[in-house]
Parts: sequence; C-alpha cells; structure tokens
Amino acid sequence: MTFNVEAVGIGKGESLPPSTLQPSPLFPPMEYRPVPLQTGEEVEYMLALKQELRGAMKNLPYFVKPAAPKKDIERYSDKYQTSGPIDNAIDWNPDWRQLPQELKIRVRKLRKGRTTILIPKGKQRVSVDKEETIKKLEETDYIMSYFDNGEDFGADSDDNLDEATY
Amino acid sequence: MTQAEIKLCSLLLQEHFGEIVEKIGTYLVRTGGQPLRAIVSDTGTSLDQVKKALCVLIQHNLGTYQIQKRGFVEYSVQCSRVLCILRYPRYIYTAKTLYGDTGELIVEELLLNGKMPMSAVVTKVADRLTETMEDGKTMDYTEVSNTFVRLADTHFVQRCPGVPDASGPSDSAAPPAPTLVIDEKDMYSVPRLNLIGKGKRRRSCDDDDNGEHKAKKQKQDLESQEPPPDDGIYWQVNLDRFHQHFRDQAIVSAVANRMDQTSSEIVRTMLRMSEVTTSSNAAYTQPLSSNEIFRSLPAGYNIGKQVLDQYLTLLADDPLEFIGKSGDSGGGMYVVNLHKALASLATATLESIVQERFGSRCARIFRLLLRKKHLEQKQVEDFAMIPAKEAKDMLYKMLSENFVSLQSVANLIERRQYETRENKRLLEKSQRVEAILASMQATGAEEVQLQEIEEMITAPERQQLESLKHTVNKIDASENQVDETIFLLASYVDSTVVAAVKKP
Repeated sequence: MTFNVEAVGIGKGESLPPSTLQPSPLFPPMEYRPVPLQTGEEVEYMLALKQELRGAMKNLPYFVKPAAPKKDIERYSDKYQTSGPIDNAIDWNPDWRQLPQELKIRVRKLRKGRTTILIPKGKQRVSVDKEETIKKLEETDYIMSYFDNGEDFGADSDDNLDEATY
Repeated sequence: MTQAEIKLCSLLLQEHFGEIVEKIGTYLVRTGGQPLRAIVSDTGTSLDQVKKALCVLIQHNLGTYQIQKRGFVEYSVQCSRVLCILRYPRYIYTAKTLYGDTGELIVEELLLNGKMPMSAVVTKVADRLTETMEDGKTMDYTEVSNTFVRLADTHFVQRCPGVPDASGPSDSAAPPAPTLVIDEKDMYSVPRLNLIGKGKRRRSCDDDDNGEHKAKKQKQDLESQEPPPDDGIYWQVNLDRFHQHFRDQAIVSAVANRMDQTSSEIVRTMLRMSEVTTSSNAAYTQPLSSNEIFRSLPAGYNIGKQVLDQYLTLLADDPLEFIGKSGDSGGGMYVVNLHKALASLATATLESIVQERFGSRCARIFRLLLRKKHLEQKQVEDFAMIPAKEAKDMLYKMLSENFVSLQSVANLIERRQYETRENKRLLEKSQRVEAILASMQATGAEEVQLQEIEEMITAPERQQLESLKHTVNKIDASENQVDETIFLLASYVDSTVVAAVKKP
C-alpha cells in the first residue's frame, strides 16, 4: 500500500475485504419486503389530481415546445398540422409592466374560442368521463391530430442540417 | 444543493413546462444568478426561447430577477421552490378539505397559472364550477369571491409584490426592470371588487340563436378589452402557509397516536389559535393561557375546565415535550414546542425507515444510540432545547436520508417516463380508439359497431395497457408518498438551520 492503512482504520495483520470486481447489481435482492403503499380515498384522490395536473399543464401555453423544424418542401398536409405560435411569439399575456424590458416578446392574440382546456371536475375524479372525452373532441380538430403525413417515418436523424439553427 | 435535488428539479420542470424551460431552469439552479446573454450563450438556446422560458419561470414564482449595481438584470431559480411542484396535489387537496370544491379550484387555478388577478380567478372558477352543475344552475361570482376572501384571511393565498405607485416625475431613463414591492400589511388585503355575475357554460350547442349571440358577445369582449378593476394586483398561493398546515397536521396526528383523541383536539386548538401569529420558522407558538384555550375549544367539546387543565399538565409532562408550560398566569401559560415536535417526528420517521429496511434488531440499536446520546449530554441549549451534538448527528442522518428520498423520487419519475415511452404507440392507439368510440356513441352508433371498434385493441394489448396503467399509478402514488417523508425531514433540517443561525 502506498499509504498507512492504519490511518483508514484497518488494524495490523487484518485481512483486507475482497476486491469489488463489478458494479453492484441493478436490482439487489431485498432482505425485507417493503411496506405496502398507503390506500384510501385521500390517496386515490391525490393520485388522480397528480395525473390530471400533469396532463393539463402539457396543454397550457406555459409548456414551451421547441420550434418546429423548417419544412424543406411545402406539403399538402401542412394545411392540417397544428403548429406552434407563429414567429416565436408568446402564447399568453404576461404583465409586461412587472417584467424586465429585455424579456419583451410579441404576444399572439388567442384565437376566438380557443380557450385553455381544463378538464371540469365532477364528484368522482378517478374515472374518466365519456362526456369529458367528447368535450375534448369538440375542442380539438380531429383532422389535425389524426392526419399523419409520414414525416416522422424513418426515425429522427441527427443529420438534419436543414433545421433552423440559432 | 445536492445532485439529487438538481436532478429532481430538472425532471419536474421538464414534465410540467417542457424541455426548453427545463434547460434554462436547471442551468440557473446550477449556476446561481445569471444575466440574459450568459444564459443564451451557455445553454446554446435561441434568445427568443430563453426569453419565453424566463417569462414562464417568473410567472410561476419559480424564478426571480434582480437589478445589479452595474445596471444589468440577473435571473435566478430557487431549487427548493421547484421541488414544491411535487406537492401541488397535496396543496389542492388540502384546500378542498378546508374550503370545499370552490377552495380547491381557486388553489388549482393559481397553481396552474402562477399569478392571477382575483377577478380572473373568480370568473374562471365560477365557469368551471358551473360546468359541473345541473343544467340551468350556475355558480354565483359572490360565492366564489367569499371563498377567495377566506383563503386570503387565513393566509393561504397572498398578494404578489407589485409595481409601487409612481407619484414622482418620471425619469428620463426608465429602469431596465421594475422593482416589485409589497407592504406587509397589504399582503392579505383583498381589493374592494364589485364582481357581479355568474359562471358560464362552455357548450351551448342546442340553441342556434344562443350560439350566434354568444359568438357576437365573445367578439365584443375581445375588442372592448377594458382593464379589470383590480388591474396590476396579482395573487399567488402561499406555500409556506400550507407547509405550516401540514406540520400542524403531523403534530396533531402524532399526539392522537401517542395519547388520545382529546389530547390531540387540545393541541389542534392551540395550533389553530396560533395560526396567523406564528412565523413559519418559529421554535414555539406564542404562550396561550389555559383560560383562552378553554374558550377556544371546538363547540362539540364538553370537557370541564379542570379536565382541560389535567390534560395540559399531562401533555407538558410528556417526555416528548410537544407542549411546554411557560408560566402560571391565566390558569397556566402553555406553548407548542414546534421545533421539538419536528425533531420527534423526524426521529420517528428515521427509526421507522431503519426498521423497514434493516429489520428490528438494527432499529433497536439505532434507537439505543439516539437515547444514549441524549443521556450523555446533560446540558440544555436555550434556543432549541436539543443538545448541539445530538442535533448535529440527527441532522447528518436526516440529510443523508433526505438525499436518498430525493434520489428515490427522481428514479421513480424516470422509470415512469421510461415505461410511458416504451408503450407510446400502444397508448396513442388506445387514445385514438377511445376518441372514435366516444364520437360514435355521441352520434348514436349501434352496439355492434362499437364492439367492432373496441376489438381494434387485441386482448394481449389490453393486458399490456392494464399492466402499464397499474405500474404508472403505483409509481405516481409512490412519488406522493415519498414526498411526505421529504417534507418531514426537510422541515426538521430547515428548523435547525434557522436555530443555528440565531445562536450567537
């Protein structure tokens, strides 16, 4: 040893523990079974809340999606694709009076009728209502989400140098 | 800040705000305060995207800005505040238990949007509640306003710092950013609003005339955009107040388990009396006299004054010292020892974790070690009444365990995301089928046709979906449950940090 092993706590003549030859297993066997998860109305409700919040926030304008890559040729299906805010404008109305001036971005006025979708609450949150699905359907243009123009076919390639760079 | 905290912050930001906000947020958590240009160059993100991300972070009270002496603006993100996203369901559920569905939706809207004027909250919540009511019934704005006022009175929601009224002559050069301020006395004062109206339903498909009229009205609304009566006054959820409530709940529940229902009700009363007079990091509540406590007991409780005094004496004599006697006037002065209670709760949590993970023998040794330390240190420190050495040891153990808990939640989230990604195609297929079924049912399709569509998903696929749902639910529930442990341990750690700072 290049250092005094006694300083680390290994006494004179004591054998060192066997060397480690591989990383510890990913799922080591557990000596004791874990305690089961809590159950009950409160727990169920909060679970439903958590999942609904996650879903709701993905649809709010605060969820910033990366800018759509520039198209190489105009495609017929482009008419039916949902696109992000035009020319990188912000999709909601911050109070610019309370923000640093350097952050100012153009605001895109929300199209008439396109209010943010938040699933209304019934007494039972746990089951997804068919009603809610219909309401959601009315808000989303079915053509836009169904129509696939095959652009994603062939997997994402890292060599797409035509993408807009910043 | 540990790697585990940063990792968890990153996952939470990504899940709720997307990858761009995640990139900027994580960068700022790691590096501390940075100006705009540094963020752009260091993260390799476009200026517009960085601006958007910062707006989102500030809007949601996750980030702030400061004007530096040399005139440029520096942005920062609070890691601990980001971690609170994990707790959003708990805040919302608590509001529901205290103030019903209206309270629940008010807190939910504020959490989803970060900051909102009261008028906007009231209209939105009234609309949402109306949607769930029977046809013809609507929710009155007044009722929602009343609940909002109650939330403000009990400090669960608070006003955001705002632009001070500029009364002097305007300077030639406007500052690069407004300095937002709020006066202590204004923090919970609700502006006098005359909000009259009822919630509106979103759908009015039956009556064509009605629909036309609605479209015209919407157009008018957009064109005549007058500023709301409470323009510029924004509200946010007061997370500290909710944390105080969780702590109180934990203490009451511990007393109920250790002693009995009546004892816990007395402690609950004492905590309720101290709600708005106790600062969030106080070591103990203001002293309360036995007479005052007697008067404040809930209406249903019929214990005599003497019985109350006996209970208080028992509580104060208990070795856990949740309640302490601080004087004799007014029939006896009592306090709730908040820091001591947190320490006991944290210790109990640790002992339980050791027991579950390593078995009873280890748990016994662990408990003995803690007690032994207590016996050796006879001196009592004034500020926390926990010997410094023991506090230091426990602190280290809490920090290590907290680290493990944070890492656990990060692992859970990653596993959940992995499972969802693996089954992406099947999930999308299932959603499309459900959408088709729903629209077919709405247009009155035959049972046979519906069955045909349902069969588009094969039996093994159905099983896979069930299994996935079960896994995701289990992981989500685990995240919620581990957060309870994180909360207790972090509360204890925070309380000792404050105590250490106070000590000269």
